[in-house]
Amino acid sequence: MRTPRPRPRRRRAKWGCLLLVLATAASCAAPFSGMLSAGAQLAHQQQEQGEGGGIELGGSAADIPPVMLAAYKKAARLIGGQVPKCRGMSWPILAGIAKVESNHAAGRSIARSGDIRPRIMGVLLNGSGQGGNTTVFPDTDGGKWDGTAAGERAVGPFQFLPSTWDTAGRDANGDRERDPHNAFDAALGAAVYLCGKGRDLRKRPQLEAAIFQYNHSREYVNNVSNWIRQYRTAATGPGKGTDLGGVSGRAKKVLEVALSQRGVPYSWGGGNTQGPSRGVCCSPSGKSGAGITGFDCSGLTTYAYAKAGIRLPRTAAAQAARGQRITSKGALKPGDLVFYGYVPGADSTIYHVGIYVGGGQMINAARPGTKVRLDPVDAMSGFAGGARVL
Amino acid sequence: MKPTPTEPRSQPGAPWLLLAATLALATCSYLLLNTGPPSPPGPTARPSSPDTPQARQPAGPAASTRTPHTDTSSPPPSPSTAAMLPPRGEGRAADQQIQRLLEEAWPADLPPAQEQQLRRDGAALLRADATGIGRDHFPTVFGNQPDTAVAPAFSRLRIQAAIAREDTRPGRAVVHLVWAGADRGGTYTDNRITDLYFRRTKGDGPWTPLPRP
Repeated sequence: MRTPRPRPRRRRAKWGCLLLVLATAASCAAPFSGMLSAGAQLAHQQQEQGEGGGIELGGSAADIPPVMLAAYKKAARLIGGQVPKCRGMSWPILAGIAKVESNHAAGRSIARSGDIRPRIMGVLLNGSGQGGNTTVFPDTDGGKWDGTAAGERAVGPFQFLPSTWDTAGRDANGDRERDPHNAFDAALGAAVYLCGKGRDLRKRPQLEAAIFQYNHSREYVNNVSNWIRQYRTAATGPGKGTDLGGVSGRAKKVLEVALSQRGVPYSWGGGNTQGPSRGVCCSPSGKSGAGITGFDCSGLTTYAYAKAGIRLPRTAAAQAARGQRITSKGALKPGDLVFYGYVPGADSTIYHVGIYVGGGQMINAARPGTKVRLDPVDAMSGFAGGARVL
Repeated sequence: MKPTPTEPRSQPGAPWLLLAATLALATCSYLLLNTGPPSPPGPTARPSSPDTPQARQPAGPAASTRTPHTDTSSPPPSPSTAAMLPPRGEGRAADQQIQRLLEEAWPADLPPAQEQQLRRDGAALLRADATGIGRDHFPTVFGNQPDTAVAPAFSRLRIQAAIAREDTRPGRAVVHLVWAGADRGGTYTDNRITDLYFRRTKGDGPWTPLPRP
């Protein structure tokens, strides 16, 4: 779409309507069968709002409460004194566990001492099915940590069972008490538990075995591992990913343009070679870009590359047909396009594109409700390769 | 009565606008109706077995270089000839479209009844792993683990889309799942992708899930 030029007000509405009609007819080509009535859209939105609370953002140290981050870092320093043979323990590993277990004690008050209030308690593991629990855990602590002698609950930001805490728990804040509801104690206890008798967590199989020990689920391991990768990306240094010192030529131009758009809102169908623009109605769930001046994912890449003199097709799937394909994340270079698909081997299912910035990060317009931002490349499932167009 | 800003007002040339819109819509409709199904992916588009290094590599001419257009003086490109696929966070409203995309991108190659059964088994296997529910139905996958308590790793799990296809290795099949769920900390994520593998020792025997690596 072309950005409408200023026109007399009387004509603007008509041209706007015409453009909107054309854009709607064109952009909603595929989702015709997914279009819903306004009432159905509202119902779905309400349903998904209830279902989708807490949709994730990309992992970064900035998303972690300072005391929690301090606890993870302190535990990584202290683990050598607890499990001397352990290798490779680092704060991103503990952050990955705590992210998945309690979202870093989200919604709680965290004192400088590390005490977390109100305490974080899991569901009573009595096999009732509540919260998905199907196994009976007999009480082991008389309710000291989990508040009940009727059974067991997982407790604290790392969700220790009291029986596990009894052996893995440590005091890390110097108050001579091992408290799973204290961030520092819990983080060191988790480090001890993950290290076992002396794992080398630099080795992927041993790290995965440690995570699997925490919860016997492969999807749990995948989920935690993904967060660890994201936090490791964040740990490479402050400002990493926006330092274009080693980038030159058209790649630098593309990235400068894209990074300058940080904070611009996502708009479904929005953005073109001229910059941000009003989008169209509507995404499958009824999110309209018609009233938002901004970018969708491929609108942002279209604009950034146009500023460097390169014209891209308008959709993410079509952009994947340009340039040289990059098949691994490790081969990505700043300025490359990065793709995500529902079937990673089939380009026709590519639904998202970003621009690789470096340091494991990309600049992208992620989805409705967000703004143009940096995200770890690992923030999304379905990596479908990259493309070097420059 | 003074018209509101959104009310149309009679203008010279208005019929031309309507005519142009009609022609444009007719053109779009023609293009849409004549857009065939996507070309089947090449052999490399098929996810292969989990121990194959190329399993996650994208299809397409990985080493090929295509010259990009450099002319940016013409009007901005329109998304008129391609689909805008649903991004993350679209909820159930996108599931049907994702299912259709999977089926079109990766053509069916198993008898329909077998595929349906594999889809059901794959979904149940994923649910058993992610929530702990129903693990006793898959002793070949979970039977060797110590009898430890299962704390559900995910809740609010929803299968968004699923297909079952032949694997590259004879006698094996892969169930490709797109799903959503909330982790123990409450973070809800959709468009999660998981491939689960099954095998059978006899040509028409039952499919057995393979332990996950």
